[in-house]
Amino acid sequence: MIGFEWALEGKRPGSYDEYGLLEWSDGRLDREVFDKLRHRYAASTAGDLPQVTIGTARISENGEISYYLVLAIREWSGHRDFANRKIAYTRWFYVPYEQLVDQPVSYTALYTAFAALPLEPRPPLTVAVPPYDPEAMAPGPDTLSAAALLLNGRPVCVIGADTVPMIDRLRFADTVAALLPYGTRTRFTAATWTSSTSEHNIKLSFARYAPEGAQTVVWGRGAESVHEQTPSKLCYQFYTRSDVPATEMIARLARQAEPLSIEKDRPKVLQLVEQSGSTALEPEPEPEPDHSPPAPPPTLPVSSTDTTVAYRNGVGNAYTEGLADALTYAPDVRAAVEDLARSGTTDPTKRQHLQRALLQRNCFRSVIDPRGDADHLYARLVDAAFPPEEMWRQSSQDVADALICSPSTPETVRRRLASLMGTPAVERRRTWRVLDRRVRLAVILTGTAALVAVAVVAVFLTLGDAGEPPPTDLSPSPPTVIVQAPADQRYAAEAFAERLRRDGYAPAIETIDPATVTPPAGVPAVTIAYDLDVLGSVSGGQYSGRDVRGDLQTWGLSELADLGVTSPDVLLVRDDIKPERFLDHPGEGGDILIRNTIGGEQLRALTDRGLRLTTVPAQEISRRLAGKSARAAIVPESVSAFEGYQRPAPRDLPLPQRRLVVLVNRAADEPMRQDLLQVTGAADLRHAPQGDPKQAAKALVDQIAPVTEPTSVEEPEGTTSFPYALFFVVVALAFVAVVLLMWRPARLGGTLSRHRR
Amino acid sequence: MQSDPASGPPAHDIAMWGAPGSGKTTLLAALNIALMRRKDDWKIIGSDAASSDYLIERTNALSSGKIFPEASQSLEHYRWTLVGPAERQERRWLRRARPAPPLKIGISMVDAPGGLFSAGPVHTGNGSRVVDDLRQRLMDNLVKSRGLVFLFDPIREFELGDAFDHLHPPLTRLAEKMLEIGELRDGMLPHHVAVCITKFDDPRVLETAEKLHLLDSSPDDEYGFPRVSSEDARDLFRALCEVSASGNADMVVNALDQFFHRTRVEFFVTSSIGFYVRPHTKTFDRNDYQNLLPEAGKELRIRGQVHPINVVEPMLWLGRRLAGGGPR
Repeated sequence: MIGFEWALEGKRPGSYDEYGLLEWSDGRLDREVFDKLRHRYAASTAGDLPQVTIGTARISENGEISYYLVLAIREWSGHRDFANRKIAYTRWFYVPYEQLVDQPVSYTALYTAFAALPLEPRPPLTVAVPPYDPEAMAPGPDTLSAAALLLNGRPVCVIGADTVPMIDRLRFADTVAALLPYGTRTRFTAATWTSSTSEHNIKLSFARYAPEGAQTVVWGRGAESVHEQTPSKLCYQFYTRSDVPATEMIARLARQAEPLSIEKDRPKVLQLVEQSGSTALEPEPEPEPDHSPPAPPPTLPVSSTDTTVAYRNGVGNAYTEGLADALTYAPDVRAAVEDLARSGTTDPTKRQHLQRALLQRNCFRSVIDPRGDADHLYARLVDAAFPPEEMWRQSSQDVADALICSPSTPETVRRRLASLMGTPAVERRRTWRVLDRRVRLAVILTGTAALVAVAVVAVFLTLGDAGEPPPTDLSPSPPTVIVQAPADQRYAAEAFAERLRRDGYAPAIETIDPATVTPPAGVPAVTIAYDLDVLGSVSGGQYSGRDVRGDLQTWGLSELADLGVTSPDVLLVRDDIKPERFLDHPGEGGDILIRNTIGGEQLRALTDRGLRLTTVPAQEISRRLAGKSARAAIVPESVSAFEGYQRPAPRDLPLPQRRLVVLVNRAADEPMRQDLLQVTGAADLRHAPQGDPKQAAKALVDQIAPVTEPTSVEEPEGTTSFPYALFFVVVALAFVAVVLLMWRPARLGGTLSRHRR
Repeated sequence: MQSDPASGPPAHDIAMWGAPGSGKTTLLAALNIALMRRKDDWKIIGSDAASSDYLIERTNALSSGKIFPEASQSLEHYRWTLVGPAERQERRWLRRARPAPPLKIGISMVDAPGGLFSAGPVHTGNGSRVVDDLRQRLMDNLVKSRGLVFLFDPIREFELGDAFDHLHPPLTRLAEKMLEIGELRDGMLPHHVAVCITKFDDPRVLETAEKLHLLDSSPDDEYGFPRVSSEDARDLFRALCEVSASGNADMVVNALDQFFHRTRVEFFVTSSIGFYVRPHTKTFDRNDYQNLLPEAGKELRIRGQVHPINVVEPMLWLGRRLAGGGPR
């Protein structure tokens, strides 16, 4: 159970006033806090509601800072103001972050829990929220890009999601947050929709157009801009080169609950993301700060088994870490700096440990900055960690980049690193300038030799292949995907299957009974099902109109799309009976049959209207309608084709609505989900075109993912000109490469010498 | 708000100012329709995609859907360009007269929730006043702007009488800021103010103007709509202030006179939806002109076509004043 405080923003019906707080809980937070927060997160005017805004609050109380997660749910109130304008209510919920440190929850789970509460919750102010489920997060290229771009310190706006349901946009924000250490939620802000013309400072927003200064991510696509700035580039690399599955990485990040700022603690955030994706030990949750002097550094190990790729995968070397700890408390700082610097000069691996120590500990500026010889000490450390001859290494450049970008890096270090990187700007150019002439020559000659060798091997291989039968295709068989749908939804099923087929999947369509859906586990599956009452039956219940997304999650299912109302139920009255006998004079015509899976609320709505109902199994209704023994029945429109029955349609009769929903299971990966969303977004699947559903589905998918014929040049059989052509092309390329490389170092050498002067 | 606004003339910052429900957003929504109903080639074009979208959506909602915009809840920022007709240059000697490039006026418009103009909560923390974020952002925009569209809603004033409450507090704070940064000119604020008396289509407003013999009609107007000229608008304003529920409305005029140079304040009598016109007669009918019939509990719907009155004029007046430097 999670405790919370709340406030309700809106207007009284008929009010002349502006929006304001109407009610709020009487807890630790007072009205002033609520008022300030609601103005801070005002980001959109009314549009399609509900919408959700995620915010944070930092409350200082007796010198102690406590963090709150803030969730605002905006929905129509059903009331109007003096000018007859619709009034929206914004329901604000404040969750003390300290509760979530040990029991993390997702934003979507919080939303689901809070949305079910009454407008003015009464004590005890606690709510049951399902625990954090990393498997519910399905990071795709867009969420990975958004999370990485947040590291650049500028807001991220997702566009192209205008038609995506709000809950999916919230899940997107949830996934982005899940890709960062949990502690960043103390500063993470997001909104499922913002007006493109409004001014706001929300970090992750959805809008039709990205606001000025924001970084743009298109829904469903990765953003190229992640590679333009160092922090996002590094972060994105950590995600895409992760050694562990995404769910494991997310689970590890969820354990990092120390409050962090995405901008101010950027190096730390990057480090935690990196470590969470590493096969090496995951980062330990941050302990309480220990101010006692550390133990003396351990003895230098005889042989190191540490990875040679230092910045990635490294969890720190005990010896270097020991020296770094010692420096923090050393009485003789100069000597401790010297010890640490020397530790980094023994071999490249130790050097990389030293680089990490500088990055993690902000270059020890708390110890070094106050000293008069600070510049000298910084120079010593930088020279030891980043010798010019080692700057060609990608890992060195990455750490140097991160240090240059970090606001915590001392200016002396930043300048020195920038000069080492050969550019005064934050962004570096990768050049060969750090290599000396002999190394360059060696690399050029080796490269040329390798190219010629490749060319010769290619010639022989190609000659050997001539006339041979084509090699057997050893690529793995396409992953099977099960597409389940009721018989009357063949068009939707075929459309999904066709789209998946074009993306390399092997879809298999299964026709299911809509009343007894059993989504398969283990294999990727998409299930087209009628209505939430069917989903309710998955979890053993009856349709009651309530939100069953939480129940679905326990079954490993998530609702991918809601295709809208497909058909309401219809009232059938036998031709020889006047409908008024059931509608206006209940009882006269006897009871109306209705299926027994209908929920209590729906039954109540109909009986409140005055109908007399008898619940019976659906098959029984069908049987009696077929035999014309039923006088009247309420049935789904799709099974209402019975001879001898009329269909009166009284306007105010609250007949159950049946919606078509698309479910996917956990085994469905993100590309697959995107494919399915593409189909749902491209057409109204409720209404199948006339003709063969398979052909109609193909025509639909042709519009959204046309098949591109691979272009190939046929080689006449028995000729041997191709291998020679290949040989000449490769040799010519090698020659050009040699010429370029011979020319380039000379020019760069000149630049370097000028720079050094 | 896009990163790639279309290149255009330098935008002049204009802010909408008025109590909640005074019609700020509706006036902006009617702007495009008003321009399209004119016959002088003035048009409005979005300087970025979001501002263009707003024009398209609001024009459609007001003209086809006949739906009023919802209340604003945050600061909305629109960038538009008013493009006028090309003016012909005079012929000199043997040279042929050439059309001059059309006049373009860039507008950077801020629309804020009316409640932000009230005195509002001013938090006191550590002995210093802390105005909430949104009010602070509004004040920054007012300081930056040089044009104001102040909306005076006579119906609200008659029923509630709080126009002064929504003018005086921010005006005082604005003057304080402008004094601080040395932008007061002759002790006055440097802004140009278009005072719009809204809801001219309401019978109570029209009848007041009629009783004062302020109604006029333009011979070029094919519908024969009644109008109140800018010269007479100030008199109507004073008359409407006399029936204020709070009796404080006269202080609105005094506050405007105190803070703004008289030559920089112009009055307009406006209606965003205009009068009802019967489809078959296509003329104003004094006995049947209400374009908005109240339907309790239902969404406000407009009865006939939208014929905005004096909606473009305040913008053009401000645009021209700001583009030309205006009289000092």
